[in-house]
Amino acid sequence: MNILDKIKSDDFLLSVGFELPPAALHKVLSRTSECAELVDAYKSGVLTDTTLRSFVQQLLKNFRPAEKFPYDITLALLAVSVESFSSRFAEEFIRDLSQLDLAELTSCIKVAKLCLAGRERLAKNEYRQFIFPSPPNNNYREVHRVPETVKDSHFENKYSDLVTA
Amino acid sequence: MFEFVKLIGSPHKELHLDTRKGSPIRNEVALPPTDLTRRREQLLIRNFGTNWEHRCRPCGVYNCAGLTWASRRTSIPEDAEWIKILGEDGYRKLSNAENPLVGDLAIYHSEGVGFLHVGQVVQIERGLTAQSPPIHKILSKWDSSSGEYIHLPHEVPFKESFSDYRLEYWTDREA
Repeated sequence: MNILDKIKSDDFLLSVGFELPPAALHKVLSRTSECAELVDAYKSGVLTDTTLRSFVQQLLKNFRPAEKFPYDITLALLAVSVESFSSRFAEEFIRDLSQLDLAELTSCIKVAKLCLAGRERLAKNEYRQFIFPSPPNNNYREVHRVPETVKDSHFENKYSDLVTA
Repeated sequence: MFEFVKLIGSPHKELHLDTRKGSPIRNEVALPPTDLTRRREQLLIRNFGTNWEHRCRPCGVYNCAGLTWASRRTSIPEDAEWIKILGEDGYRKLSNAENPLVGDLAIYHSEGVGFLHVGQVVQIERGLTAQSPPIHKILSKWDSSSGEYIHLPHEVPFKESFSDYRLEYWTDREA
């Protein structure tokens, strides 16, 4: 059985047991073999952004208003699995899910909020530009574009959105 | 990605709920259980709850914290709110020398994860011998779609997934 079929199967949904508080559920899901399989498949390119996007769309076809969404745990697992990836899908999926306010989705929204917070804590690239007073030789300043005043600019690069100084 | 469900879904229903000090408690009234959650519950009972005493059938609306602190009217899913309630409603942790009484809280937590569950002591029975400690029975609702059960403190469904879980008794009684 392919991993995406596995994580929407009754066997998987029943194996999670019951709805724990969000932090505990995040922990339980991150320890599952299905999470490890998803991470491997995504890392190796077996699962692409397009595949995952259409998988989510397929799941959401089962959404019924005023009824608990049956694949709530599947979405939560997906959020946990892609949490540490810097792909466009991961960013969009976790951010969009965490911003929802729907009674039908009980656990996955809260887990996505934790994943979003986790992503904020991930290592980031930092660019710091030190600009020193210009040397007496103006030519030097022109060649190296050193401004006249001392400034300290700070650039942050979150995930794939590269900021060029 | 979720535009469609945003259009047809219903926002969380929240009740006005405050701590004794007046801080608002985030909560949400849960939807009724589905076939899947009912089957999940049957599996839970088969695996962990053969000795559980059934108090009421699976229902939505409230979870364990809602049972304990909101009179079965809503769910309080986030453990940050639990910490707020314990702090602002005058609860204290019982020391090892103190025995829990009926009405005290049984709070389960795990190192590095936080709270797992809260239940209420509803029954205290004598130990097997004169020297053995009393046996406490806890009233629990495992999640917002389960039923209510009375169980022994260690008969919990997360004992395998969180084998390091710890049980603390809390009370609002004065020391």
